[in-house]
Amino acid sequence: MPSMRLGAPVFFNNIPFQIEERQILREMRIPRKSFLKDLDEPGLASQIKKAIDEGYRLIHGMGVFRTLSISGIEDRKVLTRETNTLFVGEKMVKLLKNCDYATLLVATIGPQVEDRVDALAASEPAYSYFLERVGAWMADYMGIIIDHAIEKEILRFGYKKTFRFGVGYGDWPLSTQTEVMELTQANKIGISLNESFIMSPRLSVSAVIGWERIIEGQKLNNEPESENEEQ
Amino acid sequence: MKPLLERLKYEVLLLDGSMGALLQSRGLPAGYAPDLWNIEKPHEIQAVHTEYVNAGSDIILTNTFGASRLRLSEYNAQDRIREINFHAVELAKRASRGKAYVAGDIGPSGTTIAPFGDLPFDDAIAIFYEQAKLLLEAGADLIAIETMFDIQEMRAALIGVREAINGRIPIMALMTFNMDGITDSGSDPETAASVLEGFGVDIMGLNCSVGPEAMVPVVSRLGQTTDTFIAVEPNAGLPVHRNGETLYLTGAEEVARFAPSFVEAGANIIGGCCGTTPEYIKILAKTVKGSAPISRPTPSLLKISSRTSMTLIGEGVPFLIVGEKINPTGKKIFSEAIANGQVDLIVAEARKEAEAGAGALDVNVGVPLVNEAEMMAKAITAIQNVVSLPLVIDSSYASALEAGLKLYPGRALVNSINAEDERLEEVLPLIRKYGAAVIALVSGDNIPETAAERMKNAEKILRRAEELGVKPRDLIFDTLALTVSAVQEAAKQTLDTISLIKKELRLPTILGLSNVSFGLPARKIVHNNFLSMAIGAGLDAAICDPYDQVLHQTVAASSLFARRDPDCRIYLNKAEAWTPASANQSATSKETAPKTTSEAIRQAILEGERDGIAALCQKGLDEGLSAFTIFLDIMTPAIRHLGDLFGQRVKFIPHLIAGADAMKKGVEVLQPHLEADGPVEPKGCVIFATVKGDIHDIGKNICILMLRNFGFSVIDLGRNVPLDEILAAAEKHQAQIIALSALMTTTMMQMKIAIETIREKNLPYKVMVGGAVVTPKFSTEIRADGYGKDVGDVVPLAERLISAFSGLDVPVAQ
Repeated sequence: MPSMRLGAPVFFNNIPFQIEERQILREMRIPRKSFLKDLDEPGLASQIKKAIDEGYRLIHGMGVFRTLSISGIEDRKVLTRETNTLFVGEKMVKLLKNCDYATLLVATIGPQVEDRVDALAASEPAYSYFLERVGAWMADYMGIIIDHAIEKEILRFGYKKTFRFGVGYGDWPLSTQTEVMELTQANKIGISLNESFIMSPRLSVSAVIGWERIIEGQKLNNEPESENEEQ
Repeated sequence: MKPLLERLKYEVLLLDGSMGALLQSRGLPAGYAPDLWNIEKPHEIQAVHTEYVNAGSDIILTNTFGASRLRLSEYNAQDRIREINFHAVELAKRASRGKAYVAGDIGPSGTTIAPFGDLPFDDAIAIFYEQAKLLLEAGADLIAIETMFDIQEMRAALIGVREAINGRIPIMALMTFNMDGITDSGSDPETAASVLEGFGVDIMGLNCSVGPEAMVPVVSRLGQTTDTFIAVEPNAGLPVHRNGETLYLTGAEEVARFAPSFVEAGANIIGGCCGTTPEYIKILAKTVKGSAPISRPTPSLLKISSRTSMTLIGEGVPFLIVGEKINPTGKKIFSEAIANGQVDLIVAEARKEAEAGAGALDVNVGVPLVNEAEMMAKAITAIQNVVSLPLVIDSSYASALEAGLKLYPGRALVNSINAEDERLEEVLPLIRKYGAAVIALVSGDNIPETAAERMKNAEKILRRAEELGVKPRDLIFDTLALTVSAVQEAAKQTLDTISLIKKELRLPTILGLSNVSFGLPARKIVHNNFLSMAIGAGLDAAICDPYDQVLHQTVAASSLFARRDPDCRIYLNKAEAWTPASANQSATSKETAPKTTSEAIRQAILEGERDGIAALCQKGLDEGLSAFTIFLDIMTPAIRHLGDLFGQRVKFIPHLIAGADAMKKGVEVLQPHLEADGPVEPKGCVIFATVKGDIHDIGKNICILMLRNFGFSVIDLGRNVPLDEILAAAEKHQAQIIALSALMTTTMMQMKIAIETIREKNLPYKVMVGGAVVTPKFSTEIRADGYGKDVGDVVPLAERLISAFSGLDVPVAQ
């Protein structure tokens, strides 16, 4: 039986990836199109294709997760053995009330895409937008990859995962980002915070996933993957 | 006892079941290291082993799953590693009483391995080496590596274990597959098997994570792909929680019900993992112990694989096109990029080759004065991140080959060895160590002229390979394609050598194709004809140009005659793209082409066609259209129409942006002509900024593009801009509008502060706000003059705000 990876952060320094046209079109909010070839505008399609190709060259997927042991719930706060100040707010209590563990995750695509986006912002704003959208989806993608790695571990130990709850969403204050970064040692994958608690590289994601007890006879349902999908 | 591997030929044997659950029932506290009980509670450990032996286990696993240096360090017990592993083997030996084999058990490191994770590959090898060495010295009968989720970690374990035991005892290597039959790191059973076979494991298989039902198909797939002995250890189902306890609810009878299916699928060893007990083994013993395993044919094909997919090379399977383009020879830009340590061109080429239909990719980064080992490591890491094809690691330097082999999480093909002693001694040990396959050129100190002489080199290579532990099925022979314009006879000898290798050695063949046509005009005709003849002679693969469509056609057609494409399926699928129907489609699209330059400019904006619009504008000017006519009567209505389509949800934000971008490109051509006719009065001046503390500005930049296209003067202050800077700019440029953007809840309050300050000071600016977190309600609350939901709103909103200023009369976009 594998032992649970508690206590120390688990790093992913190099996440293999695919940039799916379907997801990029979705990220750009173009409905009913799955592939670039489906677009009626070849000029637009070639710009997006170029951004995807460049994304492949610039993206360096990295991530980290750390699992914390939940010790109790107290007055709009979820307590863990490692910290009593991180999981605050009613939504956090609702998310983690039936959980024994909570896993923090942080993922990024590295700084190169946004450096390129910034460099092109003035001269090529449209292309810069397309590249930024590719980066935005791929930052989510890296989060999903780490999410799935955590989910496998969760299932292996007889739990089901809650949906992924992003730092700063709902009533979970963005200021807790500082503690998330410290606990996960996200600086080791190149992430820092500015004075407004925004991650740099900004094409990064941070979230928590709970380990919810599977009660005997309970079926696993298809809950949304993240709080975004729930809304 | 008979040797284990001998018995496995004739009878199905039983492993033991779970250790952890039984120790917990004997008082092991939750979270305590079970391995420490080898020293602290030896009688308990021995008792569990004895229960399993009595239940019928033929092989028992030592209580050392977490007894590596790294895992023991979690309990600060790393210095007791020798003691713990020695005691564990001793206890298992005592319990076995000569009735069961003792498998020294090795579990995963508990962390992630490079290049995917952060534990350096060499460090991982050292960790596994140390534990295996101790288990061997302590007297284990075999080593069991189990519960590996990641094929790269299994590779590290196998390298370490093989080095430690040096062939003295068998190795059993068990991966963990999820419900979908895939490992955590994405390997399917065939891929995992190809890697494990490459390392020559004696027993392969799977354990943990899922119950028996989900394991049957995986065992079956392993059984069909390998003749290596197979072991399977299911959990007693998936765990659930009851009164704070973790329970596995699939009972012993139920698990045993699947045992005959395991045997039918090819299993030679059956046991149990989490949740199973001696009771389970007892019932398994009644069901299948000692029964005859099914016989499985020895696979004859060469297997290479990436982390996620396996490719077969040999007779009767599709011909393999190995892309040759990742090679700096004769490519100045490529060479310079490699010299600078950049991998972006390599990544781009790899993707292009994969899209063009290559089945594997040759990777050569040899540039003079470049540290090739370092560059190979970077290239292999970067390529395997984005392409799932197997890689061919190509270098003259053993150090570069080794750097690539270490980091490649699959079974690579190495390019290459020949019959020269020095090369054989240098490279063959690497092939064995990293479980790779290798291309063997049938040359030696020179290139033999005749097929017979080339065969002598092939035989020499084969002999030496076997002596150094590399199996014949790890080799593919390159029969040397020489330049036909220089020696025409050589081509015949090449083809004859292919036939001889197929007939006498029954091994696969490959050629570097492009050489053959060197020095001749219309080279593709020459080497594609040669390729066709070579496939006819039995060639299995070629390193060649995957962008050459004629090559793909040649391969597809020749494969029909070489029994590589049953039912012509591959040919028919590919031929769809080569038939006249495809050509007709492009003819149809030409019919919708615009007829006049004005129409073409309009269409370019509607379709976001930025590349051609500058030329179209110039053409319009040349045809006598004025710049103002093009701008006001063609472009502006086009972009407004696009805005209308956006409003109707026929077009979307990217269309709007691409159209605006195309218009911008066109205006750049018109600008000198517009200015020559006198200064152009802007519609108004907008100061645009992302508020203090916020570093997001992509939306802002797009809004600015739109506003400028519609004739606004926009001062872009960038992001994270303090309020005093915004106000100073507004005053300096006599702006009418301040536009503020924010993406975070923590920064949007800066908008409120800005508006309050502007109101307090009674400054004459209209303030418009927008950004992902900004809502109409928030906009109203902070008393903004306008709110834009997205880029589609920005021009109408700015026009509305400007029109509020007295003396200005501007049209408002609908």
